Amino acid sequence: MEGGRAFSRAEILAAIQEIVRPILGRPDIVLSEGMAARDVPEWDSLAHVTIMVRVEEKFAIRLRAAEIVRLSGVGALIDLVERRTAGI
Amino acid sequence: MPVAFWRRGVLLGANAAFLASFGSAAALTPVLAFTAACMLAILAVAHQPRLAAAALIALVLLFALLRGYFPFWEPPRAVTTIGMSYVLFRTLQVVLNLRDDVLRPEDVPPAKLALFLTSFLTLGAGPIQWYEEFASQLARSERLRLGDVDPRAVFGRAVGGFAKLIVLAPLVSAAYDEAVRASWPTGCRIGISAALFLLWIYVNFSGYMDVVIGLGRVFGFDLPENFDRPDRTTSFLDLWSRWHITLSRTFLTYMFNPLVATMLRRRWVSGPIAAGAASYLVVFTLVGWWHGPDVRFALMGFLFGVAAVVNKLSQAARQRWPILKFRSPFGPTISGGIALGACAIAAVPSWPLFQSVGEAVAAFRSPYDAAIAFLVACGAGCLARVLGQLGDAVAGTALRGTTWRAATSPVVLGLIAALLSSVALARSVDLPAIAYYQRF
Repeated sequence: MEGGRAFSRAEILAAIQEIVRPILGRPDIVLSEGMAARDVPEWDSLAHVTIMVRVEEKFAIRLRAAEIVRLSGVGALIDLVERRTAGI
Repeated sequence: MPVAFWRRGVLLGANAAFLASFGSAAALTPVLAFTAACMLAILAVAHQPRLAAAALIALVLLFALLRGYFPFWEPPRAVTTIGMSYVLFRTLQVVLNLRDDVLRPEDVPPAKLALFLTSFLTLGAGPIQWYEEFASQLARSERLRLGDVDPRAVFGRAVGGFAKLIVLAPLVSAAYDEAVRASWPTGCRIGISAALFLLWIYVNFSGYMDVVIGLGRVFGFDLPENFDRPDRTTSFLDLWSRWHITLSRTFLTYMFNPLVATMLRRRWVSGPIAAGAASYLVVFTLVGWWHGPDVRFALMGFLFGVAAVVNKLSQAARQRWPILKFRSPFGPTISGGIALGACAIAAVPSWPLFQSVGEAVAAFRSPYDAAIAFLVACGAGCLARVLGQLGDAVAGTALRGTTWRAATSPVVLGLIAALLSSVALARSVDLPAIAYYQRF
């Protein structure tokens, strides 16, 4: 759990990728900011909320119910993590 | 007075007129009282966000009381509870968004709130719109000019919906009535009836959605879609992203996700699959029970939950043991057929002809009949997929060379003539659609 410091977008993306791989069962998946959940067949609702919980644990943040469901893609998730770790 | 004021007045008047069409003020007392309670709850939470949990618990208990979920009180037959559950869902999201600071108190002025909670477009059967979507579209509707509306898109959609409701739905309902009383072997009879019942629900519900979505565009509202070609589904879990979409996203956002997240954060279960399985059973049972106070509906929901758990476990097994992955060009058709078949059989306890869970279970007579019914329903589901694909293929070829700008007016006029004839013919036919929606 890493909290209390700002992260670069590259660091956030790399951390999310490490979280996503075992949850989706895709050890070779490479995420990009333009990727959306609908682009990955294994990324269903259960995987989505599991990923969000692991992201919360990783960055010591808390995501709201409405935010979790409305995240449109990896880029939006990085934006959200950036804001939360910056205290916004 | 600015134009926006008058337009809001027209919308509010339309909401009141729509409500009044369901009965007198006395008959509508539960709906009006419940809506007033929801407004008060929202305004209270706007000023004191920590009241959110207590407000929601109170509203859910009030809803359960007025709908007759408690055994000690049954609502009088003379009253109607139309739209109450949709008012509750709209209130739920606003209260939780106020608590989570996604909405601010100034975002929910009473007049806009009243329009949102009682919107005639979505009161009867949804779709369940997010408050933020409604607010931005209300602002747009207040600037709308008549020339901005595309009459073909609007009325084409609404007329298509009426065609489904008035022409197609009674035909499917009549076919269901014949099938359920046919002298076929029990398994076949139940399987075919189950498929027809699911088809009737789809035609009915999606037809009503076509009407409200089409008419919503007249007022500048882009209401969210509630159906996305369920015949194209490839699994039971995928079906719920295509069927009653806005209800699924409401339960997903405010019940399933928080339940799974809580279980994972507090380590109540071993991992995501266990959290998902437990949450599917709880959430789907509530989805089923939402349909009515009878235990039959809770059983329907529980069976949906079991189907979801089986689907998720099979996905997890294939992920863990890739040898189990069965690749075939018929794979999506078979898995989609199984999904539709499972949904159809799970919905059997909700059939209006059953008065109790015992009657619904007894209808199957034996596990053998239940298995046959399931197989027949799955076969019907596969057929629906194939017919959907054939229809797409035919429509693709027929439309490609057609100049629709010239063809639309005669088509629409022809549809209207067909509708008027059907209404004249259908006046002698019992239209269960409206009675069904009055349940909610």
